[in-house]
Amino acid sequence: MGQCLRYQMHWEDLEEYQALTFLTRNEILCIHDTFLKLCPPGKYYKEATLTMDQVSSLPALRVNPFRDRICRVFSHKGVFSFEDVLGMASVFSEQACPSLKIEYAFRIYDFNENGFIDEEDLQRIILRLLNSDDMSEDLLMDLTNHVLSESDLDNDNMLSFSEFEHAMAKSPDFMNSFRIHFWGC
Amino acid sequence: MLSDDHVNEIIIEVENVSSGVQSHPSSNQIFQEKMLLDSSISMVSSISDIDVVDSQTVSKRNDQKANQVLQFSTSLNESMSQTLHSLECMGIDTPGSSHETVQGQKLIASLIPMTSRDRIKAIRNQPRTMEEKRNLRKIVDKEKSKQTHRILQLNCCVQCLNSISRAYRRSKNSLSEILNSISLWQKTLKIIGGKFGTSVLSYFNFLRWLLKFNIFSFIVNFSFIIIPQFTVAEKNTLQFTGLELFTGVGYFRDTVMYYGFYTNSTIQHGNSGASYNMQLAYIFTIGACLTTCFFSLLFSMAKYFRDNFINPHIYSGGITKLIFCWDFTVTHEKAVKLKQKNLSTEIRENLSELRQENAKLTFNQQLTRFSTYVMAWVVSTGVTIACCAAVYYLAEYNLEFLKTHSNPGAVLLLPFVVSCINLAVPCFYSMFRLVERYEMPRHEVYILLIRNILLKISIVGILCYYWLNNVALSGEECWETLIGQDIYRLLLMDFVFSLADSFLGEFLRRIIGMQLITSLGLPEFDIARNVLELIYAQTLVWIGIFFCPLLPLIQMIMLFIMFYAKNISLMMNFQPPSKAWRASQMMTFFILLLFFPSFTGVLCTLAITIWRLKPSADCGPFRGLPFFIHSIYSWIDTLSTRPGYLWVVWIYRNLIGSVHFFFILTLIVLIITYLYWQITEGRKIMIREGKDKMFLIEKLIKLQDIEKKANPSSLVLERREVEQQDALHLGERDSSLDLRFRRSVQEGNPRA
Repeated sequence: MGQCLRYQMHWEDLEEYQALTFLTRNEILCIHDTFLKLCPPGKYYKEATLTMDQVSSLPALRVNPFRDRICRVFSHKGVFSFEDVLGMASVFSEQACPSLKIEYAFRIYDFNENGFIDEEDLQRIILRLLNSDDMSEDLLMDLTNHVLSESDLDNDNMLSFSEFEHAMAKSPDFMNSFRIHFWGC
Repeated sequence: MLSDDHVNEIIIEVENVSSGVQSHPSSNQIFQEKMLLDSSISMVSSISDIDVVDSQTVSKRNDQKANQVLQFSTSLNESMSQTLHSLECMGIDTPGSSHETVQGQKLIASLIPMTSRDRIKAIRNQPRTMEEKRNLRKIVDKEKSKQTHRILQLNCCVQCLNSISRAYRRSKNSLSEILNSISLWQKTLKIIGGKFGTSVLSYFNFLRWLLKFNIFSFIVNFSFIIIPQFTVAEKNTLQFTGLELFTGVGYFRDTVMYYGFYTNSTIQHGNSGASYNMQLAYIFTIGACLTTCFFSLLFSMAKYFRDNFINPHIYSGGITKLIFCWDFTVTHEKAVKLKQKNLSTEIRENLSELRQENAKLTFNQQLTRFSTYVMAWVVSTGVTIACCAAVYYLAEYNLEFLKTHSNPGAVLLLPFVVSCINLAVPCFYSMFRLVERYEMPRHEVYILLIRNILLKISIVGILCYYWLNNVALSGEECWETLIGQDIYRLLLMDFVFSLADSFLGEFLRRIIGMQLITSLGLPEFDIARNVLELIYAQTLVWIGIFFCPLLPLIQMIMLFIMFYAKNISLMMNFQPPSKAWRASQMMTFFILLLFFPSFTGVLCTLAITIWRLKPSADCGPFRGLPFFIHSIYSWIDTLSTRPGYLWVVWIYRNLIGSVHFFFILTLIVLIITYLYWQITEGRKIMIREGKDKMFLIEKLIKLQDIEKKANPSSLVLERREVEQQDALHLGERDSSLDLRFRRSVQEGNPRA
């Protein structure tokens, strides 16, 4: 693992990151350290980028069933800058507001990125969650129909963002589960 | 009636339609209409949601403001950066010539009037990249500074206040950071959460929370009664043997541990005249501890209720929750695999539950089921009553026995029996599961929980009755110390049993599950049972704090050791829970339990002690008084002779001692509760109205659809024109809303 040039983070940058994200000082510095360990040698941390594979193999994300979607949603043009990593950690932190979490959860669960969670997305989510090979087609359809009947309010066989938000905003367990600790310190 | 805020939001939502349409130029008619309907639903549901969200997150008022500017659009990123770029190039005052400028302008316009704290919160809540947020902040700051130049200079008072509030905020931030860094057991809790999920984590968080109570009580007790007592301590002439650690008698009787050791004198050092009245100190310290615990519990309970209370009428999504609430905190590979397997089982169970809901039972089956329920309840209540009676008679017999014989180990019999009952009877209750059949397995868990709670409450209740009725009136020399010793022994025996259970019992269970009966597998951590144990122990501590001021320290040590013991046992012997455990709802329930029977029971017991019982004649700080409360009465009497303190006497006589005051207070509290209840009911009506609106909008769109099909060459307004007209209508009321809406509906028509 190469190491970037070891620039200390400027105090103003740290203040700015604290103002713009939900992370605490310690968390930002820890992520900074982790980032420095992973990025290619000879680059300033603000210009260095990580590939999606590198971020996927972070210990916090390594076994997450949705890690590829997380990486897709939070990266830009296929790579992660330092600020992208901070943005990701901020959304998944404990202090993040529920509306932000719901927003990004919707983007993560929208596999085909058409702005809706349709049946195809739901089936892919279920397959990822259960990770079993003996999933019958009937059970899958049954489950999808149940989910849609519970949450689809306008009967178009898809979940729009508002319907998703309506379902999740009432669930305190969602806020507690949609959290990842990125910092290893 | 819509407020300006709502109107603002509606405008933004309607504009969302056009942006959505623009970003998918190749989509067909149906898709466009879906976006339309989506925006309408989002508008309506966001109105209703604001109120629902508001009622649930009253403290997050700033987020509510921020929610107003939250938008969802896949093209928003591009449009935003375009907007910002165009704004920077053209300057903000240029009238909007493109749609995105207007959108960004509205966002910035809504951010400018906010206070700087709200602005930071609103920017933080935006789902944008860091770069965009930074630019947004720059633009808003630039715009704000331009505006403040036009306004008169703020006078130095306001500037002073601003800088003070800024400094206060910064110090609060750094304080919370420091507190976070020294927070106990952070790393261990993260590991537990990563391996077992949030549900098991909630038990350990609860333990840590109880520890805080005990630390606080101990510090208060130590500073105000134990240290002064040390200064006038008499020499301890008794022998110390090892058994006393368990029985609490003997050497410990004449230490600061028990009530009997405390002096009733007014401690005076030197001739300075500063005196310390031990009686008052004792009663006020204990009172302060319990009052702080009361308010802390009340606020925690209110916070949990506010965040976690789900109105069952609004939401009943069982399977949706399972699908979308995957626990992202789990980071162990094996745990994830296990969770996936368990989720699969649970989903299948839920599906079969849903299918079975429709199956009706015959009358015979219903009768059988009902009679089994009644039988089970009769048996369990009978067992509880039998245990209570056994404990009472054993305690009485023990008292008699100890008067005649003097076997030091015999005092341990009662705690041993109580702990055995606490261990064995819940196991017996869980065997009822074989006989009783419930439709939902969740109900089984709740019923078992209720039975265990009743058992524990009854045992504590009967013991309190025994102490207050028998021990206090038995004419023993120092009955308060006796009660203190009893409680100490109960606590210690309970602790020993818990440790034995963790190390031996669970270990054995693992061996059985893995080696002998492999179908059972590893056991699961029984969160409910463990939390009930904690609540039981804490109740005993609260009762005992009056008779044994050092008890919080002992409980602190026990909780500390218990944390590590449970942690080790968890890692070695358990697997992650298989069912989704509604952690937040259960925690609300447990805290309610801690408050309602537990803490209020403690308060009742202490109230009876202080007002009705006669203190022992020659030990403790209240010796010789007819009642404990007479210390306060005599203090008030002495104060009334001193002219400088008459206001205290006045408060006591007219507020605390007067019935009228409490009557008026109760009336006010009831009125406020009634008003709040009406407000909540009113909000529910608004939600229903929202759903009606949605229905009407659907109808409207369907009508438009039919109209369109009949008349394909209908007028299509130029989008830009619509937008500009919309911008002009900023701030108008409902009537213009429909007009705007109709226009955007028409605009959504395909140009095909």
